[in-house]
Formats: sequence, structure tokens, C-alpha cells
Amino acid sequence: MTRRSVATAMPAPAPPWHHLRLGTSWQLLIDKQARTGLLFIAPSVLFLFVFVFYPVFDVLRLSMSAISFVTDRERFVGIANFVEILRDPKLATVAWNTLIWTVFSLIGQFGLGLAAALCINQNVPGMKLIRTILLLPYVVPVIALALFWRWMLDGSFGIISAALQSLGVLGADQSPLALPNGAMASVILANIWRGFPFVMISYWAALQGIPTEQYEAARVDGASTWQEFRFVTLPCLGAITRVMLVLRLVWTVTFFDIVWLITRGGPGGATEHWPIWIYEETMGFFRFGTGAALAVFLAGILIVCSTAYLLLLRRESDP
Amino acid sequence: MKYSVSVAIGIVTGLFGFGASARAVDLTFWTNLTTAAQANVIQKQINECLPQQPGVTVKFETVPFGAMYTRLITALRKDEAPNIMNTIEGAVGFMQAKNGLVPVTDVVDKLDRKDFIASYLNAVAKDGQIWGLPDWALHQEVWYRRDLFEKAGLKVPHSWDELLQAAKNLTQAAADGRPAMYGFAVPMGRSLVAPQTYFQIFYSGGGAIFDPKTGNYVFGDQKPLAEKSLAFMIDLYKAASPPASVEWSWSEYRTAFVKGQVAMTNEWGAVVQMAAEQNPDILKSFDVFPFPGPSAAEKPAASLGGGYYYLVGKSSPDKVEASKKLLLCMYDAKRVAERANSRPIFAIPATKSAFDSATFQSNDTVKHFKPQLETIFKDVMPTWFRYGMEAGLNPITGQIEATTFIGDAVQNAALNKIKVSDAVNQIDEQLRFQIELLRK
Amino acid sequence: MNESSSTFSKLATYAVALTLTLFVGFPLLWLVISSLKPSAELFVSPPRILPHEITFEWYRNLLGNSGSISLFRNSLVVGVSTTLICMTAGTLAAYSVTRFVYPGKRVFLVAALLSYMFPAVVLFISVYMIINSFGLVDTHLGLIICHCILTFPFALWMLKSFFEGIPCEIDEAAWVDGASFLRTFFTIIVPLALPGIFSVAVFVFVLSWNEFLFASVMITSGTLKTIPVGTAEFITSFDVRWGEIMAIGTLATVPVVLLFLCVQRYFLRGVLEGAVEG
Repeated sequence: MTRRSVATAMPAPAPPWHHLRLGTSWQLLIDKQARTGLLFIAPSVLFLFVFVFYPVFDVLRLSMSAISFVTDRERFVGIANFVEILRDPKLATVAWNTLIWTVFSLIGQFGLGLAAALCINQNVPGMKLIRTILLLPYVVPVIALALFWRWMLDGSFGIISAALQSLGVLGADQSPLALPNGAMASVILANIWRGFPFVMISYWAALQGIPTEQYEAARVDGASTWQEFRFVTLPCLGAITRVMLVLRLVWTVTFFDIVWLITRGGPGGATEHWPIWIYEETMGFFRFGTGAALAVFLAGILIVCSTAYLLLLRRESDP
Repeated sequence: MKYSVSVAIGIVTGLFGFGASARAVDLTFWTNLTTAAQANVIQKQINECLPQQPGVTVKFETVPFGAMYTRLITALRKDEAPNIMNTIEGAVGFMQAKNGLVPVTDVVDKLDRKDFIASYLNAVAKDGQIWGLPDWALHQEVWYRRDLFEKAGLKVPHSWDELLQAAKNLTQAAADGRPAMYGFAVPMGRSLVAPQTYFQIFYSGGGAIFDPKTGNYVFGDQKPLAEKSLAFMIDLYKAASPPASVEWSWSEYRTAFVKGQVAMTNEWGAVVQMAAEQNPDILKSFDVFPFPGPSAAEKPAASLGGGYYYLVGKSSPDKVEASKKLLLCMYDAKRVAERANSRPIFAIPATKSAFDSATFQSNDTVKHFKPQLETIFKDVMPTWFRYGMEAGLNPITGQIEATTFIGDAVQNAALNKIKVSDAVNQIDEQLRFQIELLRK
Repeated sequence: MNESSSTFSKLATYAVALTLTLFVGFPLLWLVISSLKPSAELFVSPPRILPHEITFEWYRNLLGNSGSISLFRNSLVVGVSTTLICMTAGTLAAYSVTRFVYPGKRVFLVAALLSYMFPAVVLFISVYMIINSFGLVDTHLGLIICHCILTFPFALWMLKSFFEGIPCEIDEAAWVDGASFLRTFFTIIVPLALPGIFSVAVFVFVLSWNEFLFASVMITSGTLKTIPVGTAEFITSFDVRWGEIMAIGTLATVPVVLLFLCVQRYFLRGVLEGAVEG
């Protein structure tokens, strides 16, 4: 018996709560299912309240303060930090760098991740090992990875640079890292290489969740492999794609380590993205207020983007 | 019985005679020298010195440099600054500005102030006090390939022009299976390395951020020199340095020198140990000369240097006393030399007694490079500054090191994206802005 | 599985797999090989793939030093604990959000995502002070809590998505049959969601395994340090120990590889389907 036949063989009376709208009444709390729901969620809420909400509110508070370096005293300054950010000449460059970094990283990771997931979904011999190998880029510590990419891109001793030099793309002893566009391309490539396993594994898990009889039904209907992919596989991956896109977007935009460790934001600020700016203000100049404001600014943009995206594409509503 | 008598004598004849009873004192000890060879020496010396102070224990921690400031910030928040810190001068400025240190002037005097090389004391002086004990003396000079110089018939350069000429002379494109050779590596890594290269040049011409005597901000008044220095640096880069060096860090330019790819480089001495590991045959042709000043008529005004220091954190009197006593023991000439020998040539003792000691002089690497070390000790180490600390401690040094605004300006000028004068203006503006903020 | 029936699709699969493995494997192979290269061969021009001689000195340095072994132990303890706590809370919460109706759900979901949007560098001081007030600084538990903070939003949202993929009818059938909510959750839904659960678990674990900032701030005792902090110690402000870093970078992947090989079968549909139908 499959899942579907369970549903059709035993028609269940529709549970009362699926027709209720949220916020109809707090009498729901008396309702058994609501109680259970709240119980299940209680540990998480408690955890969030104690350990998460306070730091986040602290950041919000700091974003509106200026802190003296010597005395550590805080002074409320309202929106002055935000105004300073908007007036900063490097705002445009950093924002643009962040955009390029994010967009291309995501395109690469999702494209590669989906292709890889479809591939590893096949149960051919040797695939178990291949799956493990393909997971590895995500597992290697970022420090080792960054040093390693720097080495491969070294102008004199790096294998990638040597290849590019022999192809005439680069001058003698030149490294992509010394060129503004080359540096950005290098860190994006490193990020795609590192991040696609996440997308791959998540898609693979989702693919495993697609009931086989849907494929069977499609085949019975005479669908080709491509049509199977388009009409059975893709729709089922829609939900996970949406969530992953939002999560990966947030993660990529705030991902500091790999860019800092490979290029330090150079050359000449060509790869300085928003998290590096935050890091410099916070741990370089020790201006925690400005750093917090930058973080709030970024979070604000992310919230707007994510909400717009989720609202636009919301097909299933939260019950 | 003998135990408690010796403890009592120890306390009574101790430094400050606070008359504290021999209760347990737990000290925290941080070092940024996380490499096993270096950390183990320090740990060993602590163990050697602890028996002098029964009841005192030390929690020894290696703190990677990448975590140093985050750890200091959280420690200060808890009012638990470490009791003893072994760290680089930028952190000294940071901690002192945040009121986290006690001065160690008394320890310096106890050890004989004249024994220390004055420049290392001056860097960490403020308000008439010394805030750190110089441990590893760092130094920057030009390391060059004597064999290549001899082959090309070149003499040691004594001016910027001579240096540029020599570098051009030694730069050859790749041909007939022979790899390319570059005359002088000009590393401009955005974080830390670019300022180190730039300020080496700027200082040699007599520049400074703060006037060493008055402490006033003078960088803005020295724009002609600043621009000339930057222009020279970029000329050198374009004529004689691998193009990729615009974003090189220490690893890259040292490897280039050790692997025979560049003939000269502005260096801290780490190439010796590196060559010993990677290319021992090249060691015998290494030599040094101080980075020249702009004109052959005058010696270079100063170089860029640095140092690892021992600091004493603000704490209860018994902990401060115990820390100082421990440091007094660890500053025995033999021990200072031993610590420097954990990374020979790169680290030189900052005291004459340690430099002259048998321990230091009997180290194989030291013996091998004796003439070079003499040059460094006599000609380079007495006159150096660290950006921002020309007139003594200043937290701006730590900020310059932790941020990239100087590296940005330098890299953009080298990549022809901005003019040299604009780059200098950018540096000046940012310096003024940050100094102003530090005053608030 | 019908997808791999045709030879063509099998060949296509292998072709794609080969390309991907090369793309991924080549740098990884380089990493492993350079961890076995002596210093002199690390930097050669022109670059060479295979070394003339192999050395185990980097691994000897690492493993001979008992501190390195404790790095792995600590990372494992923190990683596994974070995964267990985060996944337990996360699956319960995600299930609750997708199956039940009560006020405040949407607020909770959005609020959970909010903390995810702030880089660790602006949060660490406040988090540190809270953990300090519980007296948990320099303990594994303190660090575990920090890692849960970092991973929970992601776990919650991913699991929500996986749970949404399981039709409500299944739960309802069980409820109609008289099963309690908890029992339905554990015995019916969780087995069906295993691929999703394990995929999230893998990434929660890896995130904890590689996390540096909180690990470096929270843990001060040498005996409790985790791998990323240990690796950072091979980079002092003027010195990079390449050999050791490559070696520890290689070794750090081994436990995760082993874990993944073990749990891989839980990703595959049909492993526990029998339990459902029975």
C-alpha cells in the first residue's frame, strides 16, 4: 500500500480545524489541537526568547547608539548612524558587489545543485561513494579552503593561474586575484564550489519524497523523460526551492568568511561586500553602533526581499 | 617549615612588599604565538618560574590572532582582562586606551632600562609610563640575493633611485626555459601588508603620522613626501615586481623570494626559516641592507618595525604583583634569548644582554647570519616606528591594522584607478576621522 | 526505480557524475596531495600535481600532539549535541506549524528567521553576555547553545518545507484511528520525513563543525577547543603553516564523511516505508 491508497481507501472526516482562519478566536487555545501545537512549539519559543530575541533587540538598540571607544559609554543618536551609511561614498560599490556576489553565487549553486541532485538520485552502482565525494566541498573547513583557493590562483605557483596564463587570458605571473573582476569571479567560483552540495542534498531529499506512483502514472500516460521532469519532478520541488532560495539568499548575503579569507575584500575594494563592511566597522574601528546599523540595514533589505518573494509566490497557505 | 619560611621571605623581599599572605593566586596568561614551537618555549619557562611563587598557578592559553580582539572585548566586558598577555603592539594600544593595563615601568627599571633598545620602549610609552615589556623585537629591512647582485655587478643601493635601478637591472622576462625574475617584490595585500610596505618607504624619507616629539598629527603636513613615497612604491611595482603582488600577503612574497623568483624584498626575516624548510640551497646567498632613504647623502630616517610585548592586565594587587614577579623571572637574559630563538632571525631579543648572551649567539641560524644580524641590530632596530605609535601608544595603530583603508588607497593607486594624490588624501581623511572619533 | 532503466539515461548519469566529480574532486585531491607534500614541493613553478616524495610529517605533527585529538573529540561532542537538540526542537516546531492552528504562528516563523539575518559578528557580544550570565562560558553547553542559535532558523524552515510535502491525510487517518498527536508524529510522520530530516541534520552538523567565531570566543580552555579554532592557530600574524593546515583540513572531513556514509541510507525512500504500510 502506498500513501495515496491510504488516503483513498479510508476517507477521513475533515478535521474541524482546517477550515478555521488564524486569529479567529483565542478560544482555540482551549482546543486540544491548539494546545498540542503550542506544546510542541514551546521549547523552541522558550529558546528563542532567552537566547535569540535579546541579542537581536540589542543590535537594534546599538544601531541607534554611538559608543565611545575609550569609555564604552553609549549615547543615543537616533538615525544618525543610518544617515551616515547612506552618505558614505562606498555604499554604492559595496551594495553592487554584494548584489553580484549573491546573484551569481545563487545561480551557480542552484543550477549545479539541481543537476547534481538529479544525477545522484539515480541508484546506479558507485553512486553512494559519488554522493559522499560531492558533499565534501561543504565539509572542508573554510580556512583550509580559502588558503587552498589562494594557492591554486597564485600567479606563479597556482595551477589555475598557470592554465589561464598558457591560454593567454592572463599575463605572465599574473593572478586573477590581482584583477578586480578576476577577484570577484574567483570568490564567486569558490563559493559555488563550496555551497552547491547544500542545494544538492536538499533537492535529493525532496526528490526522494516524490511518490513513485506519480512517475508511474506519467509513464502510463506516455510522458517522455523531459516531460516527466517538467510535470512531475519540478512542481514537487517548488516548495523546497522557495524555502531554500530564501535561506540561501540570507546565508550568501551574510557570508563573511570565504571572501575575507581569500581576498580581504580587495583588490582596491573590488570584492568588499556588505559583511566585510560590517566586520571592518565592528572589529576594525570598533564602532559597534555603525556596525549594528549596517547589519540592521542589511536585515531590513533581506526582510523586504524575502517577504515580497514569499508573498508573490505563495501558493499554499499556512493553515 | 622551610617551605613556609621561604614563602614568607619571598613575599617580604618581593617587589612591592604588600605583605599579602600566601593564598592561592590564579593567573591567566595569553599568547598570540600559537605555533607549537613558540608556545612550548613560553610554557616551559612559565613552569620554570612558577616554583619561585608557590601558591601561584597559571592558566596558559594560546589565542589565535584572528580571535584576539573578540576575546579581549568579551574579557573587558566581564572585567576579566587576562593577567599576562604576550601580543603585538597594536593590542597594547587597544588595551591601554581601554584602561585594561597596569604600567610596567617598575619592571623595566628593575631589569635595567638601558639594557632595552630604546626604540622598543618608546613605542609603548604613554603619559610618562611604559606599558609593555619588549619581548620579540621585529624589524623590516631589504633581504636580497647576494649572488645575483655579484653576477650583475651591483652594489648595495643607498637611495631610492639606486634601489629602483638595481631592481630594474635584475628584472628579466622569462626566456629559453628560464623562468622570469623580478627585481623587488612590492606586496600590497589589502589588510596589513600594504601599510607595512608603504610605511617602510614613507618612514625612510622621514615621514610620520604623529610627530615623535610633540605627538601632534603631522601626516597631513607631509603630503609631498607621502605622495613621493607612494609614487616611488608604484614605480617599483610596475618596473620590478610581479603583477600579482598588488594583492600579495606575507606568504606570497616570502615564497617568491625563497623560491628564487624575486631578487630583493622588504622583509621581516622570516625568509630564513622558510628557506631552511623549502629551499636550503638558497640560504647562503641571502644578505640584508637597511631600506635606503630617498637620497644617498642621508641615512634612512627610520624603518617600520614592531614587536611582541608582555603586558600586565589590570587586576587585584596580588595578581598584578604575581604577574610582575613571573615576568621578572622570564626576563632573565637566557630566557629572552630562548624565546627569540623559537623563531630565529624573525624574532630578535630586544635587550642587549640577551642579544649578546651565549644562548642567543650559539643558535645555529644566528651563527650563520651573524653579520646580517649585526647590521640589523645596529642599523635598523634603533630607529623604527609603527604607524600611529611614533609618539608612543595610540589605539589608532590597532585600527589601522584591523582595517583596510590604507590598503584600499594603495591598491587603487597601483591599479591606476585613482591618482597618487587622491590616495594620500583618502588616507589623510580617514586618519583624521578616526583620530577624532577616538577622542570622543 | 524506473529512472535508470534505459542505458542512455545510465550513461548520461555517469557522464554528469564524472564531470561533477572532477569539478569537485580535483581541488579536493589537490588538498589531500599537498597535505602529503614536503615543504620544498609545496610551491613549485610550474605547478606539479604529483610530488616527488611523500611525507607524513604534517600528519605526524598533528596526531602526535594530543591537543589535536581533543580538537576532534570536542568538535564531535558539540556537533552531535547541537544536531540532536536543534533537530528535536526543530522537528517538533515544524510539525506543529504545519499541522496545527493557533495564534502567533506566522509571527513565530518570521521571528525565527530574523535572527538568521544578522551576521555573527554583531551578535556575539550580546550572546556572550547571556551565556555568561548562565555561567556557561568555557563549557561545551555554552557553545552548543550558540550553535543552536545559528542553526535553528534554518532547520525550522527547511523542516517545515519537508513536512508540508507530506499530505495531512496521513496524520488525519491516524488521528481518526485514535492515535495520539505525539505517537502519530513519532511513528508515522517522522519515518516518512526521514530524507528531509537527515538532510537538515547533516547541514546542522556541518555548520557546527566548521563554526569559528563563537567557538573562538566561548571556549578558552585548551582542552575544550574545536577544530576551526585549532586550525586558526596554525596562522599567526606573520606565519602560515601550510602543511599542517592542509593536513587538518583533510582530516576534518573524515568524521563527517563517515557519518554521512552511515546515514545515507536514511535518505533513500522506501527504507522505512514498510513500517508505514504494515
